[in-house]
Amino acid sequence: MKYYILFSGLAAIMLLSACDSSIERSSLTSPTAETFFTNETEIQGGVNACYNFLNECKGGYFDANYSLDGLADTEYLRGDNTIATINGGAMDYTTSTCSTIWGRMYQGIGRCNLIIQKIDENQNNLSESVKKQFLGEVYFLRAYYYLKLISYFGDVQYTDKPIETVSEGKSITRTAKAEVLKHIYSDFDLAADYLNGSTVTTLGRATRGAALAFKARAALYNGDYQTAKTAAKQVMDSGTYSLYPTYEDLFSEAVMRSSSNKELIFAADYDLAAGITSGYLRFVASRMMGGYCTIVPTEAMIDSYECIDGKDISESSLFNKATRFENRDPRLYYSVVLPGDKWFGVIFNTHKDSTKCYNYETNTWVTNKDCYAFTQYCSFSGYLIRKYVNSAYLSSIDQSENPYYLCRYAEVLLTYAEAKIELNEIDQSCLDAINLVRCGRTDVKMPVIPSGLSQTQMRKVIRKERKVELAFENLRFQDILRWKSAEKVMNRPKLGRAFLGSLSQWPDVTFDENGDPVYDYNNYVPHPSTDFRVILNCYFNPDRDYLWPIPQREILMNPDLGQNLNY
Amino acid sequence: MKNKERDHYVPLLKKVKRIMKVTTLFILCAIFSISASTYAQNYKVTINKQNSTIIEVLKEIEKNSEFTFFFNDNRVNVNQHVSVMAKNATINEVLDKVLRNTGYVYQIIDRQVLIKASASDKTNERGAVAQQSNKRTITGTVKDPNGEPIIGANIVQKGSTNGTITDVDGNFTITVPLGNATLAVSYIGYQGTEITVGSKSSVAVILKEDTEMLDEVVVVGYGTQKKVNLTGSVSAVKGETLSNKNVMSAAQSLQGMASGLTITTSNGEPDDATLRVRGIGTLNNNDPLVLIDGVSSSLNAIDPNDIESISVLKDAASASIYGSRAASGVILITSKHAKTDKLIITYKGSVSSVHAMSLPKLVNSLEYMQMYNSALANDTRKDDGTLGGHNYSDELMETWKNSTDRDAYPNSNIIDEAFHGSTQTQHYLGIATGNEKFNTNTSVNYSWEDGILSNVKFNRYGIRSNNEYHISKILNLGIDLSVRRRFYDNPYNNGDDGLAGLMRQAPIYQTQYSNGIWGGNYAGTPNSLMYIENKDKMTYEEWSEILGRFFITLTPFKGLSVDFSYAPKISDYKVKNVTKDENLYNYKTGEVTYTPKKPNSMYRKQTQTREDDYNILAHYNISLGKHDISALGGFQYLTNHYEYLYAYRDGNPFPQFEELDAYSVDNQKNNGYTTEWALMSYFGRINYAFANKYLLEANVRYDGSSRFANGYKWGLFPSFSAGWRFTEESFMKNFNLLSNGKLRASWGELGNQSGIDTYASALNVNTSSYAVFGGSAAPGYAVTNYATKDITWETTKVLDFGIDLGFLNNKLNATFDWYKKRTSDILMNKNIPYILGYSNSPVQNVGIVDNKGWDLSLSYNDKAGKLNYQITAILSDVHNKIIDMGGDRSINGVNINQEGYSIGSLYGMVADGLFSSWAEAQSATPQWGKLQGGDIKFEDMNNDGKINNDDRVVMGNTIPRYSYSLDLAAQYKNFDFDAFFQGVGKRDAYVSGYYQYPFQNETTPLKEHLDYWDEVTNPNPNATLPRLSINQQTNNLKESTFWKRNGAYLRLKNIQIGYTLPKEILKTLLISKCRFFIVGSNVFTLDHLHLSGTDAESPFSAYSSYPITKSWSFGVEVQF
Repeated sequence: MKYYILFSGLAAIMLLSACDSSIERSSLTSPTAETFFTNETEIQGGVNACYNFLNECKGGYFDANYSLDGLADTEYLRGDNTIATINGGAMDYTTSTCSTIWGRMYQGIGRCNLIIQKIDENQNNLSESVKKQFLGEVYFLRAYYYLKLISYFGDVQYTDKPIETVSEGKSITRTAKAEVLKHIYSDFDLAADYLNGSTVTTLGRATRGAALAFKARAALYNGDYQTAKTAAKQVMDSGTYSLYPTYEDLFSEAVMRSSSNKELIFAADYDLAAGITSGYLRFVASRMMGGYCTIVPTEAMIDSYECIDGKDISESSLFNKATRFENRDPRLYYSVVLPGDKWFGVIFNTHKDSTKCYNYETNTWVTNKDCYAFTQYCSFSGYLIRKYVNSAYLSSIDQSENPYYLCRYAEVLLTYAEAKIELNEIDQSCLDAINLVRCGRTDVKMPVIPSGLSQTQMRKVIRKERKVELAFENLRFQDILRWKSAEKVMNRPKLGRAFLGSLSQWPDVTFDENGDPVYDYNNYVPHPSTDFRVILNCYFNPDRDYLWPIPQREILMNPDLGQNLNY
Repeated sequence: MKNKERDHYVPLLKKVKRIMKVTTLFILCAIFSISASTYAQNYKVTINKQNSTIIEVLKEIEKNSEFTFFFNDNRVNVNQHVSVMAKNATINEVLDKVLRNTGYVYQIIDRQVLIKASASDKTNERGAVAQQSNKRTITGTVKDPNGEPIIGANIVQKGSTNGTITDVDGNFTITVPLGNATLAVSYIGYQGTEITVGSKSSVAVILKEDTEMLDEVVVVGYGTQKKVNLTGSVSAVKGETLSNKNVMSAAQSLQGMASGLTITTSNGEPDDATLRVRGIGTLNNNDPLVLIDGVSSSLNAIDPNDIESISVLKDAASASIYGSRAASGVILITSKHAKTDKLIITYKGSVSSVHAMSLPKLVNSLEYMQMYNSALANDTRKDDGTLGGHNYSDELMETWKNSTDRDAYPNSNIIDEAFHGSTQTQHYLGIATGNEKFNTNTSVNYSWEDGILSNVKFNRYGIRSNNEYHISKILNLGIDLSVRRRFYDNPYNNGDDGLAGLMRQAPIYQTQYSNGIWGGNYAGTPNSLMYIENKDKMTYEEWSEILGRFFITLTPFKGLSVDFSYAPKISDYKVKNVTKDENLYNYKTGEVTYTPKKPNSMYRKQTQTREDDYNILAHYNISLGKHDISALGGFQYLTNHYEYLYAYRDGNPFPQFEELDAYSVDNQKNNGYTTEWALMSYFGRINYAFANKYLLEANVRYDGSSRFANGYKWGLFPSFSAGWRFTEESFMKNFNLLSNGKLRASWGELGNQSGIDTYASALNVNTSSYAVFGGSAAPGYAVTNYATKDITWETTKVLDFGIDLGFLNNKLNATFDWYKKRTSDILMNKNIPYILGYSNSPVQNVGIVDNKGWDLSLSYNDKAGKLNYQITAILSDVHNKIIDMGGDRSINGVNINQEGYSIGSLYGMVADGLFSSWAEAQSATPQWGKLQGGDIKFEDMNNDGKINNDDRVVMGNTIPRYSYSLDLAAQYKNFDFDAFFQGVGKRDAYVSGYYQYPFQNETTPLKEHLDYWDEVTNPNPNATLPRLSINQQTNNLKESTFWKRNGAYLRLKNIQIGYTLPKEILKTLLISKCRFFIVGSNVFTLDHLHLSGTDAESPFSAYSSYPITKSWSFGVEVQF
């Protein structure tokens, strides 16, 4: 009986102690959101987190910071089904990339909206200068994200306040692109205003210059040349920026991080400690370097570089098929690894005969793992990208930490020039801007563009110049869309260098009105074993592909969003 | 007169029945722990009778105990006077006194006491015979089908009260009148039989086991119940059926054994299994709750040999006592507790030969080159449709074909080189014993398997000890302890490096040259086989589970018992991953062709789960005439604590030391976190039975979960069930064909909160949203995950109608259940518009899913001559349908969740063969990309003249329909045989990934791919594979019926032949049982996939890291 009493007591204690508090558990890792973002430290962290989506598709082969031009004619990207799908014109609203971009941009926007609200609610806890700095950065980022959205999707959902409930989110329809653009301008203006006088110039942070430069880009992309011209001019007149003296060094990490580099306007930075690294090196490095060589330049890109006389290879007397890489715009040599180049200890070549390659460091011949005879999966085009390749990260090839330009001064100059051309204000300032890019550096001295060219001729000049100067810098895809040249270039196959045969056997090339190469490859008599190489047959539907589809995920939740044409 | 006196004593059937009930209950229900076998020792008598007749004394004892007295016929004079006085004496002491000098002796067999004339008292016996010369004596034996004597069997002369019982050797003697007499022989658990004596003076009786014992007890939630009295839907499986299968894991052994329980394995790694009770009820976690002796655990946590029984609780009535965690069904495992005072030692061991069941068949180098050329020619077609170039010239292929130098012109097959047969052994040793104060059952098990891939190792060992202490009549204590450890070494970092990695070595690259030098892959880097053979990418996984249960049982008075239990559990999972890399060399020159680009590295990952389970239970039983009432009340508090820790380092100058400290600190990384949850529950049950005919049961559970916000924490889950044993009705008495029949009905509600995040209702700040500025990390704080606060319990309502029938004296048994299960307020990760700014799809209460189905199980047991055989067939079907998703659809690749269709239905385009030519493709409606001959042709399903995503249709159901199994068992003399088939009658499978796209990720095509469309060699619009491509995809990868397959299959899972050595041989060796067996598992499969390397049981993944295996084992089972 005494047991009985004892255990009844025990039972009573257990039952009585049982109440709601016994089954309450909360996160042991992080604070709850309700009481957060109230002081400077917390809001600073919130502002920092708004930068998390600078690239709209991140990681892997397809990354907006280094391989977006794989969507265009100048770059080829192997191994990624999404890119193959988009290049082949097989994209539809189920393609995951659409919802990735949509999702990332709205996450960025959502964070910006929340922080703007929190800064407003807690402004008494912030000094005026800190508040201005925070607001300036956040307005810049919100405009940056909306610019990406309208560039891909046209009309998009717009909000400048946090959306609290799911039903509210589902009820928001799309706002016309032109309307969103006005908000983008206004945000960039606010950012430029708030950041005016800011001394924060850390690489990766938004600045007044960045706000104006991106406003110019936004205007240019949307055919608002007056705004583009004005904003670009503001950057040029600010006195903050100038071209870096050498193009060759411009993309080295040391120069990018150097205060002497006045060309950098905005960049994306990486750091292993933060777990934010880039896999770029692995994708562009040769097999000999231990890379995959999956992101490579196309023949169209190589052939777009003029000869040093300023003429296309179809016209220049300096051009010789057999020695086709000689006498070219030096930017070719600084941007691309060509067959026969010394590259990380050995001579790079993918040709089938090059089973051995010369190691000029040890002066021996070694097995060439970039040779087609050994692998089909060396560089498909026979070229490699040189920009940003940084030997410091070869030992951790998928974890590079070097930054990437998101905007540099040369682009602003070309934006100014293009806006002037489109406005038909082709004056000396327009020519000066282009010519500064063509011959304003010590290692790039291309002939100046003469005055007196027609608007049509100048249009070709500026489009070629952008392609060459900004090669592999992820601006090409939007350029061919806004120039409506995508329906031409993206319906031509992507070509690469031959497996066999000699350079002199290659087909003839002519250039169209945009300065893009056209090959007569259908009449070309190939070598018994393909020596002129179609890497990829592309397909672009002009009635559909200038805008991307609204993702299935969003339409399923909100059918009122509507779909872009022909998807 | 004597006969009249004896009416009180000879086979008091009613009382025997009560004893049977109590005995079985006591044996099987561990909570009550007075051991039946020690009853006589424990029973204490206080008696004072002077000069009374023997019969009066015995009457007195019988009244106050469970003993029944039997007399050896008429030779005992029960009216003889005796005197006895005893206090707290044992029954032996009392009987010694009572029978002293009477010339009678007694024998106690359990609760039955046989009083007989002493063998030495010949006079008496003779006298008796002389007095009754019109009678004769019959002697006999009663044995079971194995020849074991049955002790204490009742023998009654039919039509009289004349009877006796068998002694320890199964012998009996009975005196019957001259002339023909019929003896009725019966014993608990055996089918009774009748024998006509005729002129025989001795008879041999063999009693068959009653396979569907009316008194069979099954384990139900928090207790046990007689099977006949069950009103819920429960599939019960006996432990021995599982251990006999001789497979590695309990999950494998349970496959197909319980109706309504589907177990599938997705790869060949031991312990990999997915359990589903009656299909998929919810859109999130569908794993049933697995309890071992009431403590939540997993099927992997127990050795099949340690299992006493398994019950699968399928309907709400039987499962709702577990309320919140029972929505996907409950699997109750009872481990073996000692139940005898004999010392029993069991050893079981086996050796197996293991092979892959199906491996991918790779093309040879010539076929590879042809296919690559075909793909390249397609991809590089010119605008006018002429084929593009190729990579391998005809001359080269000719040279390759004819070459005998396979180092220069390789024709490797990395799959054949990598996989080989392997060996597996298993050992089990169990010891059980007990006495009146203590009983124990302890076992150890060990199994070891060398993988079919080098450096794969699977080891497992476990110790379990179940102990009970009988402190006093009202107090029992118990401690169960189990330690289980599993080790899995595998030579790949993840699935990509395993089978998938091997698949990426085309036959044109040598894996290892004839001089032993390793070859490279397509990129000139090491191939996966080198890494596997050289242990360059080793993962060492280790699981440990320590589980304890301490319980106190109080039985303050008859009918009431109260249990307190505390069960702590610690589960550890540790991973050590060590990655190295090596040089490659030119096989001729020795030149280094590859040097590692990354430093060697390692990481450790550890998780620990601690669970504390507190329970209080009170049982109360009472019988009032024909009314049997039992009640249960309980309280449970469960807390769970989970920790995660990860650490990484690289750069080790001494790679032979594989510990973190051996590596450089320069690039070290770590992270970790802790999560917690808790559950609190009150529950109760009432059972009511009237005359064992009308049965009612009601359950209720009130559950609170920490996963929900205040105000949403608690949920109430009631259930009701009823049964009618119509064969007990008098109007059924004449239907002799039907020996047992019961109708059941149940309704109830179950809750579910599993599968959702621990803090699903809380909006938290992510403090690791770092940003980088100027080369350094800056802290970033963001609300990354949206949370809906108002989420609460997901509820499943189950309606179940069942019928149990037994025919021909229960030779044929059938159980059928029809059910309808509706899950509402489904907790589902549901997309929210991205404009809210979050990346997650938060959990919300949305949707309704219905599962309608039925389970049928049939068993037939009979004998033909010396052949005993049993046939068990199980067939079940479930029809799954999403009723409501709040108007939403969710599409994930080829799978769609949409109202009106089953969960995870296949969704895609309708294919109509292949385009036969370039010209046909050009004239087609635009579809995906630039079409060519050999691309899949799609139909315009909505007739809008366009072919796009709007033409997608629901094209298949991935949930198995008509799951069936068939078990055929037979015993002949000392041989036994068992064959177990399992399969699915209807299911849609989908071929994906690599099987659609042979060159994806540089993988090697399969022989099955050889029927590919090719403009020159095979322009067949019905080819099995569309035109090949390296990198240019059009319609071919779009989800479509082209890739749908019939997923039905039949598999011979298990076949077994055993031989038991005859008793006569064993007796001299002190061995009570010795059996040899041969077991084959996964012997063959019939399916419609026709793809090497696939497994019909999981027909959606192309291949996994480790293929499914088949094995043949030889083993022995010995009992001392």
